[in-house]
Amino acid sequence: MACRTSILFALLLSAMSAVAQGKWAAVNEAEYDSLGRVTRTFRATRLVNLHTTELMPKGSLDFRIAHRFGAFRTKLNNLYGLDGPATIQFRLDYSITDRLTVGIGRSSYKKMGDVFIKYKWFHQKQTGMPVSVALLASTNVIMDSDPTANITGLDRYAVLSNRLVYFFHGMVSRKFGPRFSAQLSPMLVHYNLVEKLNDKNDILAIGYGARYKALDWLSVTAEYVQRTFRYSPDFRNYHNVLSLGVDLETSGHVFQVFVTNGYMINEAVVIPFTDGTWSDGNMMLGFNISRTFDVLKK
Amino acid sequence: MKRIFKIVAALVLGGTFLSACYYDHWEAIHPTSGLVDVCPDSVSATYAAAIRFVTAQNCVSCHNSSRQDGNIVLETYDQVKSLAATTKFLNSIQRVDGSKPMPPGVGLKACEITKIQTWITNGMPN
Repeated sequence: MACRTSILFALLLSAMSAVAQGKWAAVNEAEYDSLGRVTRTFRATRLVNLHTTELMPKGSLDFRIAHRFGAFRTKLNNLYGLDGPATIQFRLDYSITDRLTVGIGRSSYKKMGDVFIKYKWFHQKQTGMPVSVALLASTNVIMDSDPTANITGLDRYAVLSNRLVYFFHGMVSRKFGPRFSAQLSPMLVHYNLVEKLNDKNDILAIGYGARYKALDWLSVTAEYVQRTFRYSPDFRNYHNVLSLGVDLETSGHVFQVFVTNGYMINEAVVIPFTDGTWSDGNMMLGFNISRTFDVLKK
Repeated sequence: MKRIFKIVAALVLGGTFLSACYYDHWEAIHPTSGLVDVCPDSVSATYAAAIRFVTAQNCVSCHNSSRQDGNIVLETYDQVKSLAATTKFLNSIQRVDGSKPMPPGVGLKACEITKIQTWITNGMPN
């Protein structure tokens, strides 16, 4: 299933890119800034769960709320998941320079806290550099208490280092025209402590993302996270994450609404431990909203 | 203001890159502490031998005395027993249409549900 989905998605990506390249001749000049750098490859700093190569201008403080409702398979009695159980993330991101952003966040699943640093290495340019490249590293802390401590008498989270999970994310994106952008992201999640002897501490994954600007105020987005090797004996019980959605642009805001099977939000858990699939109805509605403040404004 | 952000940036950088990185396995550190796999027939269907391991791994992270999600706590024998005496409990873990499926996500393994059913049929022994 996962394999079929990824092939379908690759086909969809290549088809969309072919369409987009056809319209390349009609590139809008406003797609570049004064330095000839491509702007608005994506409309926001996140696509669905993953970061994009976009960074905010220097001095922007971004307050974000991400929310995932319950699964559709819970049917009408649970209003197709809208009654919950839901997960939520609050976060604050601040851009120190145009190329460097830091942020802190808190997610309800496993009560995870995180800090990240994101750096934009290359800008795609009108001539020369064909892609944009950004790098991100984050430290995540599982703030929940050990749920099995009262049974085993052992608290796995008695030591802080056991709570730590690191996440490294490379992003390579290209805007193929005024309407279509795509992103490829190698990712590494490192757990300081894993459960079983055969569990791996390092989890490698590849993220694929795409945005198609259908209207000035509406883009269609897609994101797929593919796990690359068997990091746990339970590997088959976890699944790749597929998300399809839209970015709705209003004045100064981007409202992202989507359907996804990854309900945990934080990358360090949503990449390796998503346990539902679209085929069994375990996908849910989710949204990301953000409000950006310009704190350096005189 | 600028200085504060520089300090925050330094902390984030330090936290991200300088913290220690470990490759630990809980089973290797505590080989005898592993939670029991309740599925084999040799594990008797009692609260102490089986049911508490299922609830510990699947329920109490939300249904504990400090969080009390849905006003439900599943930390002790009495608490689990009183809920399991209602149809709500089995319907939720069996994900019956019209019930609130629990736990969220994929849910319990079929053999864990069978063990719980046997436990209830046998009068929920401690």
